[in-house]
Amino acid sequence: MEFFIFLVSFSFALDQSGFARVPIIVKSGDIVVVLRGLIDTGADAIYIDSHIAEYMGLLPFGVEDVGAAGGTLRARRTILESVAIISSDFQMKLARDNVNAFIVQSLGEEIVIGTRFFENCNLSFNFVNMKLVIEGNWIKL
Amino acid sequence: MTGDDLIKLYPILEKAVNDYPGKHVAVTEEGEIIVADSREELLKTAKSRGLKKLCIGHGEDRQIKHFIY
Repeated sequence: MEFFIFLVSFSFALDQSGFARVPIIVKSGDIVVVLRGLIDTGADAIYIDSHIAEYMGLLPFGVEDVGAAGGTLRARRTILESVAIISSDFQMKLARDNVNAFIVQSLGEEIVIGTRFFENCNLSFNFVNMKLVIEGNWIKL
Repeated sequence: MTGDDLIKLYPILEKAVNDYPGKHVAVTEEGEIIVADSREELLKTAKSRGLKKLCIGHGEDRQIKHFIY
């Protein structure tokens, strides 16, 4: 039985460039990967690198154009069985099941988490203390 | 090791990505670190060894200092 705690906050240190990279567990069948995911508030969806998608056996369906900072790129749609951001103390997770995502070739990151993942959450960047705070429905890992 | 237990290896991954700038790294369930020049090569190795649980990351290329996402 899962134990829900409402609106708990966890903070994550930003790196030297001011980027927020957080631990993320992605599951697909018997394959489980822990990735350093980039939180990108300029992106809407989840984007996963094509080599990781292939390794995990993710099924692509449909092709869509995705707007990127450098222009447009073609991406394949997929569904991730389970995606969870893990709290900085590794005790809690912010999880979503059967999430829509896009497979992108030569993605610079392993996975990029856009804002749609954070529905019902509050995100705040503190550039004085170089921290990202995610307030949401974290559940015990 | 269950899927969620794999998170215990995250500190090893964080250290590895700092130790190998510009490289792609993976940490196995046993704590072994695999390093490769590309993500494709890294995951080919993992697949050929039948590894199904991995921590995966990349060391920042320190020559690149600015990003557009």
